[in-house]
Amino acid sequence: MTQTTDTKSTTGRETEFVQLLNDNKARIMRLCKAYTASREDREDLFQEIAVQLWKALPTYRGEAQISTWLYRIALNVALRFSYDTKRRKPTSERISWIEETTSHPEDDHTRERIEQLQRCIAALPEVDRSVMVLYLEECSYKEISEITGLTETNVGVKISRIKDKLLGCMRKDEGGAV
Amino acid sequence: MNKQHQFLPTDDFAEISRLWQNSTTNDSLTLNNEAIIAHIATIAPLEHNAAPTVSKRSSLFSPLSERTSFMQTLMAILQNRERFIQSILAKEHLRLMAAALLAISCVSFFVYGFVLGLQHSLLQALSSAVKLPLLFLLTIIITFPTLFIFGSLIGIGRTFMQTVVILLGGTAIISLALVALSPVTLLFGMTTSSYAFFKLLNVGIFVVAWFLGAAFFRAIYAPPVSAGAVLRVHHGDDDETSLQASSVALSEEQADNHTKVQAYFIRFWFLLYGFVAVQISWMLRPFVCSSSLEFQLLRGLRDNVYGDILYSIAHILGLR
Repeated sequence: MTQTTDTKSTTGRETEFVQLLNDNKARIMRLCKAYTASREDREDLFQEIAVQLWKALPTYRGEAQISTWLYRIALNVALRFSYDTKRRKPTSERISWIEETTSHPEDDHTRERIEQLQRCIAALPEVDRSVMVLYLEECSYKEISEITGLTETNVGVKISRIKDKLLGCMRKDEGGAV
Repeated sequence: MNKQHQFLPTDDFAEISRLWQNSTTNDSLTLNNEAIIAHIATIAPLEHNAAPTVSKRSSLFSPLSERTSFMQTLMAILQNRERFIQSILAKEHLRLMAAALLAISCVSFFVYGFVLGLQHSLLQALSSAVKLPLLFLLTIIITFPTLFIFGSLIGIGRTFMQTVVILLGGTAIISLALVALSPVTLLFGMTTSSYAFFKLLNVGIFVVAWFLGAAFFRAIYAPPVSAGAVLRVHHGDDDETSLQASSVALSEEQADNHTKVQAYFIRFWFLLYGFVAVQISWMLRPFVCSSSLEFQLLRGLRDNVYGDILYSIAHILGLR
């Protein structure tokens, strides 16, 4: 009887976790795109983040916002993933966890601009990229500070500078206004 | 989650934010729920994950963990300056870092002092090895009040412990630079017979090390972040975009002036640090000794250090 209850409870947690993943899949995927160059790497990173979130689930005690906890882990995994890119062996047998609809509802111009933005973000130094990704994900300075370990003051200064850098990159790529 | 930024984006940046949010949406993604459940079911049950991959306190760029040690601090200072700086700014593990930096400095100065004294004798080597760490400790003790009090008065805004750690960090850089140059000192100490040349060589080495320490110190003690403090004032402000923009611009100008004052102060203070160090080194001399003289622990206070350097230069040039 106890065993049945435990099994149910475990299955329930797995279902809840998948729900959490579904609710945040776009956030995680946007972050994956900032740290990977190919579709395969993106999927691998998404999978790795999902696994680490699952493993770290007991460490979430509701003291921080779930998004803060999620970004902290996801960014940590993404940074490690980008360090290990050269050493990583290609995944031979992998069942895809995520499928992205390639056709955006926007026009071609918007699609090009999105790709341009992703290129500019990918070109940022590591710390700047992390800060900017979190900023674009609408995290507050306090959250960014908690996730990255930078002080709020430093986050403010960095964001101000990175925004200029990013706008410059977008203008340079396009040869005009953003 | 859907919060306003403290510093509202310009129109251009609002466009960037919109592009970012539209780059991937939940609607454009489909998860293979069955595959995910099947996979995570094979991973150890949650209750038994004794060592979570990411601890609650971990932060991406705050480098030094609760286990901050001599080696971690050493590696952070040598290879990962950003991590080291972030630890100081985050005020984390400052006491441990101070202890580690003090240990690094003492050991490094001991090593260089020993190499320095070997030019004369083993006794001189031991004497210099003890006196060199003492020289820098005394310099720190004498110059610290000026740094902390004046720094606070001009609004650098470092806490007592932050100031201690940054000062010890600069000192550790000086000591490590000396260790890096110790093979050169050893070579010339063993092969040259000119006491004056060896003394001047060491003046040059100490000046190089001093510059490296000063650069490190300056980069951390008062980096140009004052404008950020202004940005932080606007934390949570959702409206009045134009007011925010103008006040930020004004504050950046004020911050520039403020930064200039701080930069002058740091230059002045590091000159003072060097000046005091030179005077104490004169009190504690000899660190190097002419081979024609007997070993002496201290020579006492006479003459003047700058006169002595000029005398050495004149001696090498054959003017005396």
